Amino acid sequence: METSMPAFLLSAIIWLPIVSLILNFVLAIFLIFLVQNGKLKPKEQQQIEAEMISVIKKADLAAIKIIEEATEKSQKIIADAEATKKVVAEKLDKLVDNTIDIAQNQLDVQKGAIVEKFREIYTTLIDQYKGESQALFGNLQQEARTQQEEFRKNIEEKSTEIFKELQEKALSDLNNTNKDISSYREKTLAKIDEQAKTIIKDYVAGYFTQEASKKEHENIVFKALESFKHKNTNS
Amino acid sequence: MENKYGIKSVFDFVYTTQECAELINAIEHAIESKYDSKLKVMEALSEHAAYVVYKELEQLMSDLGVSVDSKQEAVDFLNQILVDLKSAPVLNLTLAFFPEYSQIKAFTNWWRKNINPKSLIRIKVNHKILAGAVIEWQEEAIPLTLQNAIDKNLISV
Repeated sequence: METSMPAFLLSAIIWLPIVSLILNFVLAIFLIFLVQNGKLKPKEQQQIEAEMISVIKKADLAAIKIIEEATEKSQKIIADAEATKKVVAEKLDKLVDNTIDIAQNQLDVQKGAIVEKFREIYTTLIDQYKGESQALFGNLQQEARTQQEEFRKNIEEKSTEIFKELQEKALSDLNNTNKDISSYREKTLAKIDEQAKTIIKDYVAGYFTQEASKKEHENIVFKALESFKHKNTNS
Repeated sequence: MENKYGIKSVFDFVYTTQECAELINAIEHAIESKYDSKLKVMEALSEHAAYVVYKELEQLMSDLGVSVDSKQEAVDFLNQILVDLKSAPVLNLTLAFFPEYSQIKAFTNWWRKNINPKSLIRIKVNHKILAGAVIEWQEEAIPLTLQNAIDKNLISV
Protein backbone atom coordinates (compact mmCIF):
# COMPACT_ATOMS: atom_id res chain seq x y z
CA MET A 1 0.00 0.00 0.00
CA GLU A 2 2.77 2.38 0.80
CA THR A 3 4.46 1.70 -2.57
CA SER A 4 1.27 2.47 -4.66
CA MET A 5 0.96 6.11 -3.38
CA PRO A 6 4.38 7.35 -4.61
CA ALA A 7 3.67 5.80 -8.03
CA PHE A 8 0.47 7.90 -8.40
CA LEU A 9 2.24 11.05 -7.39
CA LEU A 10 5.13 10.28 -9.66
CA SER A 11 2.74 9.90 -12.61
CA ALA A 12 1.11 13.31 -11.91
CA ILE A 13 4.48 15.05 -11.60
CA ILE A 14 5.67 13.60 -14.89
CA TRP A 15 2.55 14.78 -16.80
CA LEU A 16 2.67 18.38 -15.41
CA PRO A 17 5.70 19.68 -17.46
CA ILE A 18 4.36 18.04 -20.54
CA VAL A 19 1.04 19.87 -20.19
CA SER A 20 2.96 23.12 -19.55
CA LEU A 21 5.01 22.68 -22.68
CA ILE A 22 1.96 22.03 -24.77
CA LEU A 23 0.30 25.23 -23.45
CA ASN A 24 3.45 27.32 -24.18
CA PHE A 25 3.57 25.86 -27.67
CA VAL A 26 -0.10 26.76 -28.35
CA LEU A 27 0.54 30.33 -27.08
CA ALA A 28 3.55 30.72 -29.34
CA ILE A 29 1.57 29.50 -32.35
CA PHE A 30 -1.11 32.04 -31.55
CA LEU A 31 1.33 34.89 -31.36
CA ILE A 32 2.97 33.85 -34.65
CA PHE A 33 -0.43 33.82 -36.24
CA LEU A 34 -1.15 37.29 -35.03
CA VAL A 35 2.14 38.61 -36.35
CA GLN A 36 1.65 37.10 -39.77
CA ASN A 37 -1.78 38.61 -40.06
CA GLY A 38 -0.31 42.11 -39.51
CA LYS A 39 -2.33 42.89 -36.60
CA LEU A 40 0.87 43.80 -34.74
CA LYS A 41 3.29 46.44 -35.55
CA PRO A 42 7.00 45.57 -36.09
CA LYS A 43 8.06 47.20 -32.93
CA GLU A 44 5.40 45.77 -31.06
CA GLN A 45 6.04 42.66 -32.96
CA GLN A 46 9.63 42.63 -31.88
CA GLN A 47 8.61 43.34 -28.38
CA ILE A 48 6.15 40.69 -28.54
CA GLU A 49 8.61 38.27 -30.06
CA ALA A 50 11.09 39.18 -27.38
CA GLU A 51 8.45 38.61 -24.82
CA MET A 52 7.50 35.45 -26.52
CA ILE A 53 11.09 34.26 -26.51
CA SER A 54 11.38 35.32 -22.94
CA VAL A 55 8.17 33.57 -22.15
CA ILE A 56 9.35 30.54 -24.02
CA LYS A 57 12.64 30.62 -22.22
CA LYS A 58 10.96 31.10 -18.97
CA ALA A 59 8.61 28.33 -19.82
CA ASP A 60 11.55 26.17 -20.79
CA LEU A 61 13.39 27.01 -17.66
CA ALA A 62 10.27 26.48 -15.65
CA ALA A 63 9.66 23.31 -17.43
CA ILE A 64 13.24 22.17 -16.89
CA LYS A 65 13.05 23.20 -13.34
CA ILE A 66 9.77 21.52 -12.94
CA ILE A 67 11.17 18.47 -14.63
CA GLU A 68 14.26 18.58 -12.48
CA GLU A 69 12.21 19.09 -9.40
CA ALA A 70 9.88 16.34 -10.47
CA THR A 71 12.82 14.17 -11.23
CA GLU A 72 14.37 14.95 -7.92
CA LYS A 73 11.10 14.39 -6.23
CA SER A 74 10.54 11.26 -8.10
CA GLN A 75 14.05 10.17 -7.35
CA LYS A 76 13.55 11.06 -3.76
CA ILE A 77 10.23 9.33 -3.80
CA ILE A 78 11.88 6.38 -5.46
CA ALA A 79 14.68 6.51 -2.98
CA ASP A 80 12.20 6.85 -0.18
CA ALA A 81 10.15 4.12 -1.68
CA GLU A 82 13.22 1.99 -2.03
CA ALA A 83 14.22 2.79 1.51
CA THR A 84 10.71 2.10 2.59
CA LYS A 85 10.72 -0.97 0.49
CA LYS A 86 13.97 -1.98 2.01
CA VAL A 87 12.70 -1.29 5.47
CA VAL A 88 9.48 -3.05 4.66
CA ALA A 89 11.39 -5.87 3.14
CA GLU A 90 13.63 -6.01 6.14
CA LYS A 91 10.64 -5.87 8.37
CA LEU A 92 8.93 -8.46 6.29
CA ASP A 93 12.04 -10.56 6.34
CA LYS A 94 12.32 -10.08 10.03
CA LEU A 95 8.66 -10.81 10.40
CA VAL A 96 9.05 -13.88 8.26
CA ASP A 97 12.13 -14.84 10.18
CA ASN A 98 10.39 -14.27 13.43
CA THR A 99 7.36 -16.11 12.18
CA ILE A 100 9.56 -18.88 10.94
CA ASP A 101 11.44 -18.87 14.21
CA ILE A 102 8.23 -18.93 16.11
CA ALA A 103 6.86 -21.60 13.86
CA GLN A 104 10.11 -23.44 14.07
CA ASN A 105 10.08 -23.11 17.81
CA GLN A 106 6.54 -24.25 17.93
CA LEU A 107 7.41 -26.99 15.53
CA ASP A 108 10.39 -27.88 17.65
CA VAL A 109 8.25 -27.90 20.71
CA GLN A 110 5.65 -30.00 18.96
CA LYS A 111 8.29 -32.13 17.51
CA GLY A 112 9.87 -32.53 20.91
CA ALA A 113 6.52 -33.41 22.31
CA ILE A 114 5.93 -35.82 19.50
CA VAL A 115 9.37 -37.29 19.94
CA GLU A 116 8.84 -37.46 23.65
CA LYS A 117 5.48 -39.06 23.12
CA PHE A 118 6.94 -41.36 20.59
CA ARG A 119 9.77 -42.16 22.94
CA GLU A 120 7.33 -42.81 25.70
CA ILE A 121 5.20 -45.01 23.48
CA TYR A 122 8.27 -46.59 22.06
CA THR A 123 9.71 -47.23 25.51
CA THR A 124 6.41 -48.68 26.61
CA LEU A 125 6.25 -50.80 23.51
CA ILE A 126 9.86 -51.81 23.91
CA ASP A 127 9.29 -52.71 27.53
CA GLN A 128 6.18 -54.56 26.61
CA TYR A 129 7.96 -56.21 23.76
CA LYS A 130 10.89 -57.00 26.00
CA GLY A 131 8.62 -58.61 28.52
CA GLU A 132 6.74 -60.49 25.89
CA SER A 133 9.93 -61.34 24.11
CA GLN A 134 11.52 -62.58 27.28
CA ALA A 135 8.48 -64.65 28.07
CA LEU A 136 8.30 -65.85 24.51
CA PHE A 137 12.00 -66.47 24.45
CA GLY A 138 11.76 -68.33 27.73
CA ASN A 139 8.96 -70.45 26.33
CA LEU A 140 10.82 -70.97 23.12
CA GLN A 141 13.94 -71.82 25.02
CA GLN A 142 12.06 -74.31 27.13
CA GLU A 143 10.37 -75.73 24.11
CA ALA A 144 13.67 -75.84 22.29
CA ARG A 145 15.23 -77.63 25.25
CA THR A 146 12.39 -80.10 25.29
CA GLN A 147 12.58 -80.62 21.56
CA GLN A 148 16.34 -80.81 21.73
CA GLU A 149 16.12 -83.41 24.45
CA GLU A 150 13.54 -85.38 22.50
CA PHE A 151 15.60 -84.99 19.37
CA ARG A 152 18.70 -86.10 21.23
CA LYS A 153 16.86 -89.10 22.62
CA ASN A 154 15.46 -89.95 19.21
CA ILE A 155 18.84 -89.56 17.60
CA GLU A 156 20.42 -91.63 20.34
CA GLU A 157 17.80 -94.37 20.02
CA LYS A 158 17.96 -94.29 16.25
CA SER A 159 21.74 -94.23 16.31
CA THR A 160 21.85 -97.13 18.73
CA GLU A 161 19.33 -99.01 16.65
CA ILE A 162 21.13 -98.27 13.41
CA PHE A 163 24.49 -99.04 14.97
CA LYS A 164 23.12 -102.29 16.33
CA GLU A 165 21.68 -103.21 12.95
CA LEU A 166 24.91 -102.25 11.26
CA GLN A 167 26.90 -104.17 13.81
CA GLU A 168 24.70 -107.23 13.40
CA LYS A 169 24.84 -106.90 9.66
CA ALA A 170 28.58 -106.37 9.77
CA LEU A 171 29.00 -109.39 12.03
CA SER A 172 26.71 -111.42 9.83
CA ASP A 173 28.57 -110.26 6.73
CA LEU A 174 31.85 -110.93 8.45
CA ASN A 175 30.74 -114.41 9.46
CA ASN A 176 29.47 -115.08 5.97
CA THR A 177 32.65 -113.67 4.53
CA ASN A 178 34.72 -115.76 6.91
CA LYS A 179 32.69 -118.79 5.97
CA ASP A 180 33.10 -117.96 2.32
CA ILE A 181 36.80 -117.36 2.78
CA SER A 182 37.14 -120.51 4.82
CA SER A 183 35.16 -122.50 2.29
CA TYR A 184 37.08 -120.94 -0.56
CA ARG A 185 40.34 -121.55 1.27
CA GLU A 186 39.45 -125.16 1.91
CA LYS A 187 38.36 -125.67 -1.66
CA THR A 188 41.42 -123.91 -2.98
CA LEU A 189 43.73 -125.82 -0.68
CA ALA A 190 41.96 -129.04 -1.61
CA LYS A 191 42.45 -128.17 -5.26
CA ILE A 192 46.07 -127.26 -4.64
CA ASP A 193 46.55 -130.46 -2.64
CA GLU A 194 44.91 -132.44 -5.37
CA GLN A 195 47.00 -130.76 -8.03
CA ALA A 196 50.15 -131.11 -5.95
CA LYS A 197 49.32 -134.75 -5.33
CA THR A 198 48.73 -135.27 -9.00
CA ILE A 199 51.97 -133.55 -9.92
CA ILE A 200 53.97 -135.36 -7.26
CA LYS A 201 52.31 -138.64 -8.02
CA ASP A 202 52.88 -138.18 -11.72
CA TYR A 203 56.49 -137.33 -11.08
CA VAL A 204 57.03 -140.09 -8.55
CA ALA A 205 55.06 -142.56 -10.63
CA GLY A 206 57.13 -141.61 -13.63
CA TYR A 207 60.26 -142.15 -11.66
CA PHE A 208 59.28 -145.43 -9.99
CA THR A 209 57.70 -146.97 -13.07
CA GLN A 210 60.40 -145.96 -15.52
CA GLU A 211 63.59 -145.19 -13.70
CA ALA A 212 63.62 -146.95 -10.34
CA SER A 213 65.32 -150.33 -10.40
CA LYS A 214 63.91 -153.46 -8.86
CA LYS A 215 66.67 -153.25 -6.28
CA GLU A 216 65.46 -149.82 -5.25
CA HIS A 217 61.93 -151.16 -5.03
CA GLU A 218 63.18 -154.09 -2.98
CA ASN A 219 64.92 -151.76 -0.54
CA ILE A 220 61.74 -149.77 -0.10
CA VAL A 221 59.73 -152.95 0.48
CA PHE A 222 62.17 -154.01 3.16
CA LYS A 223 61.75 -150.63 4.78
CA ALA A 224 57.99 -151.16 4.71
CA LEU A 225 58.44 -154.57 6.32
CA GLU A 226 60.68 -153.07 8.98
CA SER A 227 58.06 -150.43 9.61
CA PHE A 228 55.41 -153.12 9.97
CA LYS A 229 57.60 -155.01 12.41
CA HIS A 230 58.29 -151.87 14.39
CA LYS A 231 54.59 -151.11 14.68
CA ASN A 232 53.69 -154.65 15.71
CA THR A 233 56.48 -154.77 18.26
CA ASN A 234 55.35 -151.50 19.85
CA SER A 235 51.67 -152.42 19.86
CA MET B 1 58.03 -179.91 11.75
CA GLU B 2 61.13 -178.88 13.58
CA ASN B 3 60.86 -181.58 16.18
CA LYS B 4 60.05 -184.35 13.83
CA TYR B 5 62.08 -183.30 10.77
CA GLY B 6 64.99 -181.42 12.35
CA ILE B 7 66.02 -178.07 11.10
CA LYS B 8 64.88 -178.66 7.58
CA SER B 9 61.26 -178.12 6.57
CA VAL B 10 59.05 -177.76 3.54
CA PHE B 11 59.08 -173.99 4.04
CA ASP B 12 62.72 -173.97 3.03
CA PHE B 13 61.65 -174.40 -0.59
CA VAL B 14 58.01 -173.40 -0.64
CA TYR B 15 57.56 -169.67 -0.41
CA THR B 16 54.49 -168.59 -2.31
CA THR B 17 50.88 -169.60 -2.10
CA GLN B 18 51.09 -170.66 -5.73
CA GLU B 19 53.96 -173.04 -4.98
CA CYS B 20 52.03 -174.21 -1.97
CA ALA B 21 48.93 -174.91 -4.02
CA GLU B 22 50.90 -176.77 -6.64
CA LEU B 23 52.65 -178.83 -3.99
CA ILE B 24 49.41 -179.58 -2.17
CA ASN B 25 47.90 -180.71 -5.45
CA ALA B 26 50.90 -182.92 -6.15
CA ILE B 27 50.97 -184.38 -2.65
CA GLU B 28 47.25 -185.11 -2.74
CA HIS B 29 47.73 -186.98 -6.02
CA ALA B 30 50.68 -188.83 -4.51
CA ILE B 31 48.70 -189.83 -1.45
CA GLU B 32 45.86 -191.06 -3.64
CA SER B 33 48.34 -193.31 -5.39
CA LYS B 34 48.81 -195.35 -2.22
CA TYR B 35 45.83 -197.41 -3.33
CA ASP B 36 47.66 -198.24 -6.56
CA SER B 37 49.86 -201.22 -5.76
CA LYS B 38 51.93 -200.79 -8.84
CA LEU B 39 52.78 -197.11 -8.34
CA LYS B 40 55.07 -195.79 -5.67
CA VAL B 41 54.08 -192.67 -3.80
CA MET B 42 57.20 -190.77 -4.74
CA GLU B 43 56.76 -191.68 -8.38
CA ALA B 44 53.29 -190.29 -8.31
CA LEU B 45 54.63 -187.19 -6.62
CA SER B 46 57.29 -186.70 -9.23
CA GLU B 47 54.62 -186.84 -11.93
CA HIS B 48 52.60 -183.99 -10.40
CA ALA B 49 55.17 -181.84 -8.65
CA ALA B 50 57.71 -179.58 -10.23
CA TYR B 51 61.05 -181.26 -10.57
CA VAL B 52 62.85 -178.83 -8.32
CA VAL B 53 60.19 -179.15 -5.68
CA TYR B 54 60.21 -182.88 -5.93
CA LYS B 55 63.98 -182.96 -5.53
CA GLU B 56 63.81 -180.62 -2.54
CA LEU B 57 61.14 -182.82 -0.99
CA GLU B 58 63.08 -185.93 -1.68
CA GLN B 59 66.17 -184.35 -0.11
CA LEU B 60 64.16 -183.32 2.89
CA MET B 61 62.86 -186.86 3.35
CA SER B 62 66.37 -188.18 3.05
CA ASP B 63 67.66 -185.65 5.54
CA LEU B 64 64.93 -186.55 7.96
CA GLY B 65 65.44 -190.26 7.51
CA VAL B 66 62.06 -190.93 5.96
CA SER B 67 62.15 -193.98 3.75
CA VAL B 68 60.91 -193.24 0.27
CA ASP B 69 60.40 -196.94 -0.33
CA SER B 70 57.93 -197.32 2.55
CA LYS B 71 54.58 -196.34 1.15
CA GLN B 72 52.98 -195.79 4.54
CA GLU B 73 55.90 -193.79 5.93
CA ALA B 74 55.96 -191.65 2.85
CA VAL B 75 52.20 -191.07 3.01
CA ASP B 76 52.40 -190.10 6.67
CA PHE B 77 55.19 -187.71 5.91
CA LEU B 78 53.29 -186.17 3.03
CA ASN B 79 50.14 -185.89 5.11
CA GLN B 80 52.07 -184.03 7.73
CA ILE B 81 53.47 -181.73 5.05
CA LEU B 82 49.95 -181.23 3.76
CA VAL B 83 48.71 -180.23 7.20
CA ASP B 84 51.60 -177.80 7.61
CA LEU B 85 51.03 -176.22 4.23
CA LYS B 86 47.28 -175.89 4.61
CA SER B 87 47.58 -174.37 8.04
CA ALA B 88 50.30 -171.93 7.07
CA PRO B 89 49.25 -168.30 7.45
CA VAL B 90 49.52 -166.19 4.32
CA LEU B 91 51.16 -162.86 3.93
CA ASN B 92 49.53 -160.88 1.12
CA LEU B 93 52.10 -158.45 -0.17
CA THR B 94 51.01 -155.90 -2.76
CA LEU B 95 53.97 -154.38 -4.60
CA ALA B 96 54.41 -151.70 -7.23
CA PHE B 97 56.63 -153.92 -9.40
CA PHE B 98 56.97 -157.49 -10.54
CA PRO B 99 59.63 -158.92 -8.24
CA GLU B 100 62.23 -161.47 -9.25
CA TYR B 101 61.86 -164.84 -7.64
CA SER B 102 64.96 -164.20 -5.58
CA GLN B 103 63.31 -161.08 -4.25
CA ILE B 104 60.17 -163.04 -3.38
CA LYS B 105 62.32 -165.49 -1.48
CA ALA B 106 64.12 -162.64 0.23
CA PHE B 107 60.86 -161.04 1.36
CA THR B 108 59.49 -164.38 2.55
CA ASN B 109 62.63 -165.24 4.44
CA TRP B 110 62.61 -161.86 6.14
CA TRP B 111 59.00 -162.37 7.13
CA ARG B 112 59.61 -165.83 8.46
CA LYS B 113 62.63 -164.68 10.38
CA ASN B 114 60.96 -161.63 11.91
CA ILE B 115 57.24 -162.38 12.03
CA ASN B 116 56.20 -165.95 11.43
CA PRO B 117 58.49 -168.89 10.42
CA LYS B 118 55.75 -170.97 8.82
CA SER B 119 54.09 -168.43 6.65
CA LEU B 120 53.56 -168.22 2.92
CA ILE B 121 53.54 -165.23 0.69
CA ARG B 122 51.11 -164.10 -1.97
CA ILE B 123 52.36 -161.39 -4.27
CA LYS B 124 50.04 -158.88 -5.95
CA VAL B 125 51.10 -156.05 -8.19
CA ASN B 126 49.54 -152.59 -8.20
CA HIS B 127 51.54 -149.83 -9.88
CA LYS B 128 49.38 -147.12 -8.30
CA ILE B 129 51.05 -147.59 -4.94
CA LEU B 130 54.22 -146.29 -6.62
CA ALA B 131 56.60 -148.00 -4.18
CA GLY B 132 56.62 -149.84 -0.87
CA ALA B 133 53.99 -152.43 -0.05
CA VAL B 134 50.52 -153.04 1.24
CA ILE B 135 50.92 -155.66 3.93
CA GLU B 136 47.86 -157.78 4.63
CA TRP B 137 48.40 -159.99 7.62
CA GLN B 138 45.82 -161.69 9.86
CA GLU B 139 42.85 -159.76 8.46
CA GLU B 140 44.62 -156.45 8.76
CA ALA B 141 45.83 -154.38 5.83
CA ILE B 142 48.54 -151.82 6.38
CA PRO B 143 49.39 -149.57 3.44
CA LEU B 144 53.09 -148.80 3.78
CA THR B 145 53.24 -147.32 0.32
CA LEU B 146 54.70 -144.25 -1.26
CA GLN B 147 51.25 -143.30 -2.50
CA ASN B 148 49.94 -143.34 1.04
CA ALA B 149 52.93 -141.40 2.31
CA ILE B 150 52.40 -138.72 -0.32
CA ASP B 151 48.70 -138.44 0.51
CA LYS B 152 49.36 -138.23 4.25
CA ASN B 153 52.17 -135.71 3.92
CA LEU B 154 50.15 -133.47 1.64
CA ILE B 155 47.15 -133.59 3.93
CA SER B 156 49.30 -132.78 6.95
CA VAL B 157 50.81 -129.86 5.06
